[in-house]
Amino acid sequence: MKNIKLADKMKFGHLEDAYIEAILDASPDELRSDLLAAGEDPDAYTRSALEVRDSVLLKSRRAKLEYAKIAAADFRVRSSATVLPIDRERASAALKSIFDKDAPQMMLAARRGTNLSEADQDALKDALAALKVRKPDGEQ
Amino acid sequence: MELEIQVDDEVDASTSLNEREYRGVEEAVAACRDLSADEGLKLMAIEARLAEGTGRARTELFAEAMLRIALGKRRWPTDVTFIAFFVMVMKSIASHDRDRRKTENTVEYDENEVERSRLPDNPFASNDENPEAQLIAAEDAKRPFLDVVLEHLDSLENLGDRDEMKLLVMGLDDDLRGKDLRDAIGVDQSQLDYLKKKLRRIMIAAYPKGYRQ
Repeated sequence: MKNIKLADKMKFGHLEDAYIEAILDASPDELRSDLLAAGEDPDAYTRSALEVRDSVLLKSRRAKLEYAKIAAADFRVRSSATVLPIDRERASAALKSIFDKDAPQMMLAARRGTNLSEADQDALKDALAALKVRKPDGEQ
Repeated sequence: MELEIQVDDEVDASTSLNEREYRGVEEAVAACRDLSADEGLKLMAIEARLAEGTGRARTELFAEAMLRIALGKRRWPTDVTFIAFFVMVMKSIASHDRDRRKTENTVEYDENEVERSRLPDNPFASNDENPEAQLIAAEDAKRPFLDVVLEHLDSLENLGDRDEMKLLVMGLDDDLRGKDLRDAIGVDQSQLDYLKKKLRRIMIAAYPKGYRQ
């Protein structure tokens, strides 16, 4: 890490910057020796750094998880405002209105000719009931 | 250890966002996770100096910087090493802390105040501190770093190269580098390297021994 030039010197005296660079340029053994000569405990420095790192990273993971939960909940609230679940009664009524009209042949099951079997109708009703369909604007 | 996630109302960097490229948050988190014991040692030694005047206890500045990096509130420029970036973040936070404290009412230091604010368990000092030394250090915290270092050099007995050391300190404070610095002191590069190492040891010894507010 020699000769690291700090990109931004922000409102600190140049002597402080020189002090910081001197620490960065020192070998770990030199720095430990300096700290011991000053009556400091270099092992405590190292231990604290690694303990704080572990604590902070755990905290940040939790914070990100909480944020994700809030964002997901907010999305569900916003997206469900225009969703209307449909039930079988409504599905039957909708199908009946289709069949009562002069519907194009493409809406009917090809294998049964011109009519849907009762089983096919039930399956279609179940499928429609399982879907959450966005209600078109202005329609009942 | 309980940490509060502080609101970050600072601009990410002093340079325009369009002028720099940045690494992703996950890359920065990985760099935090891979922080070595030696890197932690250096950052803590630097934090001891930067935290002075901020009102933060030891390790708080380090923790706050890492938290902001891990949450993506500080982005890592691609043109600096991770350690240099980490120091930049600590400096940024400390700078704002110091500015904020200047606008607040300051507490006058006296012996009783120093006693009340003394950290009962200082994990960083291997020796016990006496109240007088703490009071002196508290007063030092209010003075320019240059004055503190020069005075300390004068107080050292049997300090060889005293004049050269003081010229070095003043030259560094004037942001002299390389040839300009050598010429100001009147030394060659090897002698300059020797003086800088010696000064580093003196500065670590003088300021601060543990953190006091």
